[in-house]
Amino acid sequence: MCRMCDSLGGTAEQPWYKNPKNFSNRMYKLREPGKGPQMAAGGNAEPDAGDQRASPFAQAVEAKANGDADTFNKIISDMNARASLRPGCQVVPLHEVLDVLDLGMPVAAMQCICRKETRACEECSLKEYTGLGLGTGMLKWERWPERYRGKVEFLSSKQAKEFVEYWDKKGFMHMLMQEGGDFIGGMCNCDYPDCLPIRQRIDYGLTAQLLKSEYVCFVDWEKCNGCGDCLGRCDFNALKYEATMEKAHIDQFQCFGCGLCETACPRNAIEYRDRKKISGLARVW
Amino acid sequence: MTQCYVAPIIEIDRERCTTPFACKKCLQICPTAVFGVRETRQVRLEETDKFAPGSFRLRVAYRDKCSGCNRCVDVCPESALTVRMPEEVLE
Repeated sequence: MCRMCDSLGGTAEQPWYKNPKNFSNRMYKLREPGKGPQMAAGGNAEPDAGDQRASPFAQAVEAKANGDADTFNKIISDMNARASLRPGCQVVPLHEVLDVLDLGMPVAAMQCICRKETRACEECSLKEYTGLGLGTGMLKWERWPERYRGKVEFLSSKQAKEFVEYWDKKGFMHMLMQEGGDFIGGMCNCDYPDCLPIRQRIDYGLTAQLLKSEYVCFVDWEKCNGCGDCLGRCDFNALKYEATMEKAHIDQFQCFGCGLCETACPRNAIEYRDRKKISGLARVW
Repeated sequence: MTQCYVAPIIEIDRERCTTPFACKKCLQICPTAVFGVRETRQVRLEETDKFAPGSFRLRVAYRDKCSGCNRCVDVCPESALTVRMPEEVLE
């Protein structure tokens, strides 16, 4: 089992994000008297690289850009050690996302702060929103939706499912996030390079904050005719066309089990297998 | 061990680059998405005006990914960007 299941009540049959306790009201933090609101993530401009106040990650990037591998590797391994003790994100395939949306009401569509930061995307209406807020963290905004930065739009369970299916078709994979505590706070629809957790894991080896899904995708070569419709959907460099076999090829160790290739395949040639039941992959998170 | 290569230095002239979130040309043209943009200051319950000079700040968020292709330099309407390799590497 992954560390999230270990600490958040997951079992071999039911991953942590299907445990209703993780959506419960008791996770909702009330502000302590006299304490002001916390600055939202992405609020303050990051100091320039080299600045003493630069975040550890900004210092790691700067070390890498200066060719200083020792400093870079040290900062990244420290960050991984700290992140492994904190809540994180996990990749979740579409069919499981649809189950989670029923557990996580209320559900609201909102802007993606990563895409805003990396590509200056402005998501101001339901047609443009790509993120979803879930569960107890949204109770406050359900009451005052106009006060949420960038606005939010609350969705019915059916609307939320159509929303996720729409972005899945477009080519965004899905991940569940914990927000500052033990409750499940959001579900992102993301791709490389604008998603910060994906990018930090793939480009910088920050492995602890974004976990792979409970699944690994396999290509059934009896069914695959090599049409290539799945190619280009993978954000994790796991999928290619294997010219020798004239079939799609998935690298099991690179695969995050997001299932974007599965939802694109017209012949149902890609299947999910439970990561925990494959001996060589059960510890690859 | 990750291999590290010395990357170009990217300089932003902030006198010229004042409304990066409204302009966003460099942010969207970069093949490796090197840049980032954030609000300099958030006022509670207020949306930030992207046209107000200085309300957003462009920064070089992933300099190690810069290939020095200069597409951002060419696209910048204010000529606010310079990209150069450190001299000690060129020697």
